[in-house]
Amino acid sequence: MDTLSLLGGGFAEALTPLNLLLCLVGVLLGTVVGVLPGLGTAMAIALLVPVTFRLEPTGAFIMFAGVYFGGQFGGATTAILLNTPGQSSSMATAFEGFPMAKNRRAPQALATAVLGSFLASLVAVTLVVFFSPLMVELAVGFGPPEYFALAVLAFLAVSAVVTGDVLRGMTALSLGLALSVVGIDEQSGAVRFTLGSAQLLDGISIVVVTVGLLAVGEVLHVAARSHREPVTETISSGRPWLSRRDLRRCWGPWLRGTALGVPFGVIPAGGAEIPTFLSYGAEKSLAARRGDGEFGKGAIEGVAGPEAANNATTATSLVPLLGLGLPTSATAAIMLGAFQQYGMRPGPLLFSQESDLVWALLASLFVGSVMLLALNLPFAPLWARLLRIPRNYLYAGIVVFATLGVYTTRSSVFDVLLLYVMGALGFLLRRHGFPIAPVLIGVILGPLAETSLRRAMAMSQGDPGVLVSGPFTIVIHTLVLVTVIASVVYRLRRRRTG
Amino acid sequence: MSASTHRTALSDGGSARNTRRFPVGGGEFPVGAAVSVLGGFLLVRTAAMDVPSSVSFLGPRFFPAVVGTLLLLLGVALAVRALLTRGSSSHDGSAESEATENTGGSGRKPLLLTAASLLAHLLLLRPAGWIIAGAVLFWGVSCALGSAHRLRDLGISVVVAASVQLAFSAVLGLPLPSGVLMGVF
Repeated sequence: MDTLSLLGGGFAEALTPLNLLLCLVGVLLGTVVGVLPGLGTAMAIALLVPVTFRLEPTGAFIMFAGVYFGGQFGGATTAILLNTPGQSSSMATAFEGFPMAKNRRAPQALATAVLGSFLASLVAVTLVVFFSPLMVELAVGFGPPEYFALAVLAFLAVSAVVTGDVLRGMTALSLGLALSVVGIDEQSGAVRFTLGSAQLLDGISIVVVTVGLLAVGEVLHVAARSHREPVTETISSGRPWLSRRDLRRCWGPWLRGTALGVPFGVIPAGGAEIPTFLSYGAEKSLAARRGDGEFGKGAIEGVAGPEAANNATTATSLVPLLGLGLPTSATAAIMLGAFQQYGMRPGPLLFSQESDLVWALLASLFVGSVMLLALNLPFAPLWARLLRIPRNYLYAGIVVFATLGVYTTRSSVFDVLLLYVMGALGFLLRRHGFPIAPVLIGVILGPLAETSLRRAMAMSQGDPGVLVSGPFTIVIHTLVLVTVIASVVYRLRRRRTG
Repeated sequence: MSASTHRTALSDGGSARNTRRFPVGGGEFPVGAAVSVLGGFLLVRTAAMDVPSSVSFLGPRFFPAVVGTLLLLLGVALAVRALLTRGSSSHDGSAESEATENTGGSGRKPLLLTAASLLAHLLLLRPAGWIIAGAVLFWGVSCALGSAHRLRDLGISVVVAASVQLAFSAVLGLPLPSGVLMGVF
């Protein structure tokens, strides 16, 4: 089969010593940021983009993918041992995982989390391998109207549906869009919002925005509430293992969690949080139906399901990212920004022009999953010790690394200034409870939305009907309407009951 | 030693000051106003933009005008909501008030110290070079976040900055400003 031979070529590329090393570095780093609360995979990849710019793109993306996957594995460890989820997608894991750890079942909780993550990754990556080409075939016929519709879908999904507060989400999105229009307009050559500064003619670099909002903003935010950090105590755990009885209890939740997680990666619903909670809820009600009262006191099913779900979502989010250039999570948005930095545009062109890169990346996902299994199953308790790193060194290191990465890309002090301004913006947004992800999506997808809208209108000589002309645009716009209506109804109903 | 006394002083007064400084919903009004002002600014600059005559349908002004209008309206909506919620209930446990409370107020000193370190780094980077500016940055932020041994941390900062310079210049070939230490390296 064609796909298999391409994948074989990908494995040959992914298994070269350098790429294996980069994959290992990626999964190690991903596990670290997954374990540490406050640091996320989005921040880690944003920090890596400028320093990997001199690398071969294939190696860089293999590393990013390792970080993305590693974060999901690492997040579970601290959720279980310390009740402090390193990532929002591990919140559901802590509900049953921490009680398990308190009942001296930490080894089993860790084992089911790691094995479930591994299994879900394998299944989901296999699906990615076979579905991405289909997505590409679908996307070959896409023109400006379709891309505009996709961008609108991503905007509304991330700002109105995922965020708890529509007003704040939309405001954050608009701020991102406003940042994206600074600089020379590519189509007409008009100078926009540079305030007379020559350095702003090229626009505000995505690297500066993402690193500033995610890294510098987070450090300022931590500084502003530094003394209020709760003290956590570590529950020591033995080596993770599962008895045959536990294994029998885990199979169902693993598979159900994977099945729940897979579709959520493909739709822009803001990453892995929703499927993990859905999976937790499903396992809980199944247990209630069985008459099993263990939930709330450390039921292994409540760890197995959500962990499988978040890894499945992470993997399948690569399908729309690679096939359409549509990011469905903040981390995927950063990876899209990284593709743009390398001058590549995900979508059908990527598969035809950068076919080696795509298949090496997909193959490396299998390699990375195996590495993560080997790193996390025996050593999970060791990873938890990372929390003993003094926070002041950690955050000082992050600021230094962020500054350095941004400075070295263009040797420009102005970029560093801009980085700190973005950091201040990120701090203000966090302080007032605004979400960061919509800003990122706005900055990264804003130019796509604008150019495709203007091209579509130029094609149709100014007739807005072109935006809803093809079958795909109608489908996507219907999807937009349905998501908005569904979220409004859900909100109203919740307000009435709550 | 002065750091620890400052921190205890802050943590004592922190929560009380927090609730006083950020009345529920009240913090949102200036935010809404600021967002509106930004939107208005975008609209004004869009209107004043020089547009090449060759532009056909939907020129470079259209998208910024949409974004500016959005920001203006959203800012007004945020401000109005802040006024409404302040009038009706001052202590309901809604998600927004919780978010403001968790993230708002207190910790002014560490924040200012961090900001000062960033500023110092910016000013020092070109004239003094990376090693000095980078060490100042690392040391400043680590002190701001509660350093136990300031002198030891100064040493760590210099080591971090120097090894980063070495790694970037020698291994990755990315240039960093060497500044006043030019002769040494």
